[in-house]
Amino acid sequence: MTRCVIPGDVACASVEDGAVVLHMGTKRYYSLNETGAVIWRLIEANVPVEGIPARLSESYDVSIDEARAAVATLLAELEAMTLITVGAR
Amino acid sequence: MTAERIAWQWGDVDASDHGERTCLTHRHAGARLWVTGGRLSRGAGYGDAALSVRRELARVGAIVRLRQRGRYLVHAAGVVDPAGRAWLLAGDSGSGKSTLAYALARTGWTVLGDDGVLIERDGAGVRAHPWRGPLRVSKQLETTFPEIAGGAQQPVAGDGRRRISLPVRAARSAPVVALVLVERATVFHMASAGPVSALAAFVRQSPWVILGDAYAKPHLELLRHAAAQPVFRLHHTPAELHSLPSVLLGALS
Repeated sequence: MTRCVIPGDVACASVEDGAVVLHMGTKRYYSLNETGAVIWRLIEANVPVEGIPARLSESYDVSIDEARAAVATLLAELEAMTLITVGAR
Repeated sequence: MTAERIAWQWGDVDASDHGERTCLTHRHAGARLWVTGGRLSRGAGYGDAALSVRRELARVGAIVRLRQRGRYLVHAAGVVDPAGRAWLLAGDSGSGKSTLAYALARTGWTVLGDDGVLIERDGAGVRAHPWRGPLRVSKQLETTFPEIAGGAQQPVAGDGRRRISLPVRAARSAPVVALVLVERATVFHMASAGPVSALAAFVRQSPWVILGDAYAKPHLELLRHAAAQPVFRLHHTPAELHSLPSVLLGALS
């Protein structure tokens, strides 16, 4: 199972329609839409990467393939911005 | 000699943590100010530093000290309506925060600050406190606000915005009832904004949230609570300034 790790200098605040993520190391902040915020909360809950698309598909009217693609895209973006590390324990 | 680890930087001020104490050092002048348990004390070189250096250190020191007490500065104007409710008008420099605050103040609203306001948790809500400073608007607004024209006061030399200070009634603290994200425009428009855009705008206008000290997360949590209030995006024009009080109060009714 692959899991994501959120660094200690990253903080997130969720609101009704999304979330804002702060990276205190790079002094940048990012906003996530509603779907992105759901994925972020699943990462926070230590859900394995392989399990996230199914959880997303349960919550929204999207196929498992669409959910897999959305999760893969977002995780790649979050990792590029050093907001998460994918693959650590 | 011991090297100090810089915990964060703000403008020309470097901050280093020393257990429960934070040392603020002016990068160029070397003057120091300590923040200990919510109190400020002068460090090496502070007394001999130029006034501008001491002011910069004192401003950052005040922001840090207030963070330690659960009060966080937001780059916004704060105004209190006749019902005693605080409205935060947030926007970039030059977006018209002071102009809007004055337009409201001249109809009886009171002012917490026109370029900054302190916020803190208040039960399930958020409370706003004053961050004092002179309210300054452009003298060019004298066609909109005729009372400005009669004054002898001239803009400060070198101020490209030709601002003058105007007297307004100061407010005490008040519960926050709404946030307004303001922008100058050619067409007046006001509409509701979603919480995530409000939170992102508030993070932008409260950049101390990203300092990376122990107060960053509670600061972010407070901004999240603030963004849960009704939020509006206001594109304003000089022609609509006189109807602003009724527009804002109508938005909440």
